[in-house]
Amino acid sequence: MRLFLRKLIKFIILFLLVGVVFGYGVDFVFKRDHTDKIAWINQLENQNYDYAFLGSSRVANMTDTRILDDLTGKKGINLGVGGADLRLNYLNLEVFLSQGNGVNSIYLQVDPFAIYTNDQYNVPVYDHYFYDYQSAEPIYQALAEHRQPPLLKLNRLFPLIRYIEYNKVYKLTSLIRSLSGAEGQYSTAGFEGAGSSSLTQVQTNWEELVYREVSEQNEKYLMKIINLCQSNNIRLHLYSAPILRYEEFLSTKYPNFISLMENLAGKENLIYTNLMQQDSLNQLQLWKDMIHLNHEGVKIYSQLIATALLEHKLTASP
Amino acid sequence: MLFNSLDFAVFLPIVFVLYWFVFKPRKQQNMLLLVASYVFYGSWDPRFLSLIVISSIIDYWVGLKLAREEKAAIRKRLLAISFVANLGMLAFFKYFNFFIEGFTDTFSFFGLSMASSQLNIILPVGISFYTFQTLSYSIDIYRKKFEPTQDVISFFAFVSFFPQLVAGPIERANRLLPQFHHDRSFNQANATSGMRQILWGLFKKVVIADSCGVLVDAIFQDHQQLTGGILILGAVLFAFQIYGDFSGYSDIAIGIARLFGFDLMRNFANPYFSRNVAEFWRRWHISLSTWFRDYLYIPLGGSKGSVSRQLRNVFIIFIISGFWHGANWTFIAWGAIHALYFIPTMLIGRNRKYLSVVAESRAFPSLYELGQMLITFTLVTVAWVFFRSASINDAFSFLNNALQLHQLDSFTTDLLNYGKGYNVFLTFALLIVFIWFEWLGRSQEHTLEVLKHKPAVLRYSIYLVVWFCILFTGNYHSPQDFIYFQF
Repeated sequence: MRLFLRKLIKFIILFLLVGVVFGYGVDFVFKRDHTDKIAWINQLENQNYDYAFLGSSRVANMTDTRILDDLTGKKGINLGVGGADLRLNYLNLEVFLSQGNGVNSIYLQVDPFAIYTNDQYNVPVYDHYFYDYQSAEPIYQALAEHRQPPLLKLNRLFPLIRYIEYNKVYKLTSLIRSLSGAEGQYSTAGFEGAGSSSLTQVQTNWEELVYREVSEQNEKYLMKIINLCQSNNIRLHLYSAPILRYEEFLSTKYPNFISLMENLAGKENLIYTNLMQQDSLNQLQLWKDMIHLNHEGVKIYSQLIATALLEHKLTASP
Repeated sequence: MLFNSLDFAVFLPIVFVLYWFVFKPRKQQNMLLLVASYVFYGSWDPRFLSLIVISSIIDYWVGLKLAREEKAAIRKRLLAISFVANLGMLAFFKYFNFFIEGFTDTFSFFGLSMASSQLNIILPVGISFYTFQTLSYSIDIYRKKFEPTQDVISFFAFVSFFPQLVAGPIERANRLLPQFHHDRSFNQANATSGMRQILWGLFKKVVIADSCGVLVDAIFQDHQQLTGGILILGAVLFAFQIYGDFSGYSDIAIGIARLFGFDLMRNFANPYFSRNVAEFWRRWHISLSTWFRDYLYIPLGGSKGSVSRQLRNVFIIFIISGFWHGANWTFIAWGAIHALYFIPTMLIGRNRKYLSVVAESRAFPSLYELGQMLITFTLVTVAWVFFRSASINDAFSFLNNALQLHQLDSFTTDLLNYGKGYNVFLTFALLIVFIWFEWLGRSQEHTLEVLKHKPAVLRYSIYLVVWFCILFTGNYHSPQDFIYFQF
C-alpha cells in the first residue's frame, strides 16, 4: 500500500507541477487572442473615446462605429457582445474602465427580452473571462453570485482549471489562432460585422422571446451600470434598437416595456430613446432575422444613429 | 453518478480509504461495499434501489431453497420464480411499451382496432445487467454447479457491486461471489495496473467516444440530406464511439474493482482486430456473449445436432442478444445481421479458427490479415448502422445514401461543415494514436499494460499526456452518459 500511495502521490505532484506551468503558459497565449470580443475588450488599455455602445448582439452586429466615426468626426467603440445580458455588460464596463480607458458617453441598448426574465441570457457562460479581475470587489461580488468563493480563488491561482472547465471555448483551434497572433475584425472600433443573408418572410411566432416578469438580476445590473457611469462622470443614455415591425408583432407582448424604461430614465435623470419601430427599416431584405439587421440594414441604421447623435436626438433632455 | 464526473472522483477515494484503512475485517468491507454500491446506484434515482433489493432477496431465497430441495418439479418451480421475477422486471421496464405497440399493430393489420395505452416507464439503469447476473446465480445452483451462499451481505454486495453494476461486465456467481467470501489483501502491482486501466478507460470514453459522438450525432441526424463519404465516416466514427464508450466503461469498472482487490472478467479483447465475425463475437462484450452461450445456446443444443437445428440456435441467440439491447426492431435487425454473418463461418468450420491474437509476436499484420480485419470491421460497421438508427427505414436510407459515392466532391465540404475545422483533424489524429496504442497492447490484459516495464520517464510522460487529453476534451458542465446505460 505504501509503495502504491507513494507512486500515486508522486504522479499527482508531477501532474500539478506540469499543470501549473502549462496553465500559466496557456493563459498567456489565450490572453493574446484578439479574435475573441470579450478578450479583445479586456485587453484595451488607456484608450479614450467620445462614445461607446454597450449591449448584446443587437449592438455588436448592428452598430457600425466606423460609419458613426466617419459621419460624426468622433471616436467611438462598440462594446456589444453577442448573447450578453446586463450583468455581462456591467462586467465588461467595469474591466474596461479599470484598465484606464475613458469614455464621455455610453449608449446602453436595452431590449424587452433583456430586461424581462430570460433563462438564455442569465446563464453565466462568460464568467471565466473575468476570473483574473476578481481582486476588484465589484467584479468579485458579481462572480460570487454564480460560483463558490473558494473555487473563484482556485481559478485565479490555477488558470488551468478554467481552461479545462471551459475546454469547449478554449479549444486547440483557439490556441493555434492565439499563437498565430491573428488580428480580429474589431480593430479599434469593435463592430463585429453583420451577415448578408436576408429574410424572405416575416416570422410570426414570437413566443420564444416573450417573458413575463422583469428579472431581478437584470434590474440590479442595470442600476449598477447607471451608478458606475455616474461615479465615473459618464453620460449614460438608454435606448432600444430597431425590431422588424415591432409595433405589429412585439409591442403587444410587452405593453409595459416603454413606460417601464421611461419611468426608470426619468427617475435616474437619464434619456431613454425608443428606436424599435423604424419605418425606414421596415423592409424584409434589410434583416437577417426579426431582431438583427443584415449588412445593408446596418448601413442605414448606423447612419440613422449618426444623424441622431449629430442632431443630439439621442442626447436631448427629457 | 458517472465514472467521468466530479461526484465520482470524490466518492471513489472516500470508499477506498474507508475500505483499506477503516473497515479492515472482510465482513465490514463487504458491508461498506454494499452501502457504497447502494449510494452509487441510488444517486441515479433512489426508486431504482427497491428493484435491485427485490431481485437480490428473491434470488438469495431461491438459491437457499434450491440447495435444500431435491424434488425436480419443485426445483423447476423455484427456478421459474427466479426467471419470472428477474425477466418479469426486465420485460416490464424495458419492453412493455414495445409489446403493447406490437399487439396494437398486429390487431390493426387484421383490421381490428385495439385501444392501447403506453405507460411512461423509466428504465432503471443497469437492470439488463444485474438481472442477468442474479439469474446466472440461480441457474448455476439449479444445475448443481454452485453452492448458494448463506452470507446475505456478501450476496447483496455481489449483486450490487458498484464498479460493474450499471454496465457490466456481467459476472458469474462462481467467479465473483467467492471473492466476497475470502479476505482481500492490497496488491500494489494489481492496484497500479488497475489505475492504468482506469486511465485508459477514461481516455477511451472521454477522448475517443465523446469526440466521435459529436460528429456521429450530427451526421445521423441529417443523414437524409447527406450522401457518400460523410455517411461512411459517420458509421465508422460510431463504431469507434460505441467501442470507446462501452469498453472504456468496462476498463474503468475492472480497474476500480482491482483497487479493492477484486478480479472482474475481461469484457473486450480488441474486437476490431478480429479476422472474422466469429472471432469478433469472442472479443466483443464477452460477458454477455458467454452468458448467452452457457445459458441459452448450449441448452438449446448448441452446435450439436442437425444443420437446421444449429442454424436455428444461432439465429435465436443473435436475435435475443439484439433484443437484449433494447425494445426496437433495429436491435433485432442488428442481431439478425450478425447471425447472417456468423452462419457462413460456422458452416465452413471457421468459427473457431482464430483463437489467438492476430500477428502475435509480430509488429505488423500481414496484408492478408489486414484485409481480413478491414473486411470484418466493414461488416460490423454496416450492422452498427442499424444499431444506431432510430428505425429500420432510417438504417436502409442511411446505407443507401452512403453508397452514393459519385458525390465525393461534396465530401470535403460536408466534412468541414460538420467537423468545424480543426476538431475533425484532431479527432482523426487521436483515433490514429488510439488505434496504434490498442495495436501495441493487443496481447496484454489491457492496453496500457504495454507500459509496465518501460522506463519511468516514458511511462509518466504518457500518463500525463493521456490525462491532459482527458481533461481538455471532456465535457465537465454536463458529462456525457455512457451509451450502454440505456440498455
